Amino acid sequence: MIKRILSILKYTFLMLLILALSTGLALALDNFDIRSETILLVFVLAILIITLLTDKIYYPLCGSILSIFIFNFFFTEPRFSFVINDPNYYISLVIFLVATTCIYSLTSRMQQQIVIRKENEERLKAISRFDSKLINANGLEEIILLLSNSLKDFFHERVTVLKVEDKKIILDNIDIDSETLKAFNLSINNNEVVGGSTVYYSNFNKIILPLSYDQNIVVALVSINFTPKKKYLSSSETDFVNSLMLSSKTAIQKEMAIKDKEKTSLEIQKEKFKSNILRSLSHDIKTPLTAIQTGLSLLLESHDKIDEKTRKSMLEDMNKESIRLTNYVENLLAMTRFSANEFKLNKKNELVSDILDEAISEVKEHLGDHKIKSTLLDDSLTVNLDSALIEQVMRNLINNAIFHSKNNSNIEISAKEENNYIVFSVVDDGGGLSKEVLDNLFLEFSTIAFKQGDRYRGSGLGLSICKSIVEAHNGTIIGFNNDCGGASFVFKIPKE
Amino acid sequence: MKERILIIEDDKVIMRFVNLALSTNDYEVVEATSGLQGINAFINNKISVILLDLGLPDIDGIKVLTQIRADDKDIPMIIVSARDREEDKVKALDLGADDYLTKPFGVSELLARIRAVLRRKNPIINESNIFSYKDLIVDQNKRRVFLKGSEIHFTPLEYSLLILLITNQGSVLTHKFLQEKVWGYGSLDDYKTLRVFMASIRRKLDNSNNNFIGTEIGIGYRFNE
Repeated sequence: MIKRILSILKYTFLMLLILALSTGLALALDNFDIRSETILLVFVLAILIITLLTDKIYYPLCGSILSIFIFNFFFTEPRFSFVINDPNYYISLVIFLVATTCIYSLTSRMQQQIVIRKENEERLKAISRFDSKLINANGLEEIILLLSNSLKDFFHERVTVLKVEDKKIILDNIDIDSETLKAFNLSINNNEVVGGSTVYYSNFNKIILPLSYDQNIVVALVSINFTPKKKYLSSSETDFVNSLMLSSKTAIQKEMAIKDKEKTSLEIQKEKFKSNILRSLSHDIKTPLTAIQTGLSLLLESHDKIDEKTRKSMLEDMNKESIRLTNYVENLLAMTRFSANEFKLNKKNELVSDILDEAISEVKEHLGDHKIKSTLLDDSLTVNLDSALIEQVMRNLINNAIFHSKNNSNIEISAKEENNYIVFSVVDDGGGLSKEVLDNLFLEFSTIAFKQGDRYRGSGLGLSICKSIVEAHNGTIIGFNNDCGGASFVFKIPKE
Repeated sequence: MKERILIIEDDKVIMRFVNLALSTNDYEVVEATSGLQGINAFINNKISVILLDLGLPDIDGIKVLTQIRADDKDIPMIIVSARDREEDKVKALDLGADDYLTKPFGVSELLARIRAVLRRKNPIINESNIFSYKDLIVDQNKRRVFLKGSEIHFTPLEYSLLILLITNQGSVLTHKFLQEKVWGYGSLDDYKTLRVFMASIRRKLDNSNNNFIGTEIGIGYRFNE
């Protein structure tokens, strides 16, 4: 209020000062016998200056009327009186009044234009700032926060941005009266602008704009309170808000599209993983089964067409295949037990020589043309282990040597004591491991199966079981190509 | 002249048994233990039928299939694989395989499939153009179908389907293949129309105790041998 009185006083003083100065100038000009029309122009100039320097129409208007009196008093005959003799002056004065009013309205309109243009410029800048920030925004939350901040730069406390999830507003300790809540829900459910000059709640003291993306899913509400003086948003304000909302919407759509894509690619990965593992398992089971079934059906159908020797070797092959299958199924069961964590070590002190003998006796049947021997220096060596599980490790390693090495290869198994560990090794001279197999040695079975599908040839599951068993005994296992042109597998477990 | 069969299979024992089975049944055998070897063997030998495993150590069998098919669109190829999922079978058949045998299998089934694709390749020149199988007679000159001596009416679409099936007797024909051959365009309804027509053909041939048409669920149909 005081501010207002001060500004009135200031502008009134300014007006009076300008009038006094121009009166002085006019009087000075009058001394040089300048024509009174020219003097009148001095006052026109004064009014123009007053218009430019003040902010209300009263000042130039008062100024005009005062100028008329001053002019009348000082410069019309009879001088120094308010009487006018010449009717010409009446006309001059009326034109003067009209002219100053016109000048005022023109300049004030121009000033308004400048203000609007400035505002627009700032809004455009704000929009472009907003857009450039949006590019780096990550996630819905950030986009909404950015929108909220940008709107607050313009509408300050009048704007509220609320998050919406599943058609429910997230109210973070914000009090809302029931009427407003109703309006909010109306906006969410219909994805429509509510309040302001819309059909809904047209007399509301605020306007509510929903921010939505595809399928009309509303993710946020923008609520802008009106000022007591202006119960609407100007068209430039509306444009500004709409443009920010549109940019946000596009950003959200982009965000959602990326998320969708990520989700599908993850699902495809998972699907591929599952199908590759299944493929690998089914290949490993079905290959020996196929050999057995083909062989048996051939013998059944064409028994007499095949000579005795071939028949015998076929039976040997089938026997080998059935052992391979048994072996595989055992490993499969072991894997199931491992992954179900249903496995306990049943450790006992065992003679190392027993373990080696048992391993050899198990594979003797299907050795074919391979040769096997065991070396053990100390027959009294004992070790604390779960014999059933370690047997499975030995069996897997020896069977790998039998099934994956060239004909007539030699297999040597041995054991010795080394720093309180018992070191077992299975060594063959049957060709060794390919680089691909070496790279995947002892990898988690699922990893190999996923990488190779049905390209991998057996042993993937077996070796991963071996590793699990040895590690459960606090031991280690390694595999490498040896100097004898074959593969070596060595594992050690603590003696006690 | 003996028909020469190329086996592309990396398992030694299966290879040996299949080879034995084929040789005892008067076929000549060419062995290949990897995909690339298989393609080579196909190029360098005059092959009548290819038995192809999909799970090969070097390149995937599907690649071998497409490569050979690109080279020769008529060579009969039978997939012999442990992959038993519908999509695997449909994919292989749509890419040009003539038949698909899932492991494990018996020798007689393998031999029957080989005979079927060979028959398709070298159709017995039948001057009269009359197909006769069990109680069924199809006179292709007069477009007439007889079952147990009495004529059965077939609509033109049903008739086209039947002809496709009997000329490919023993081989599985995928939904896609039948649809495109008979209707000339792909299915927009998950082959519902095709299924309806097949059901109708089946009903018409059902008067006898013969099960003429076998269904490969999710894959297609086969005119049984």
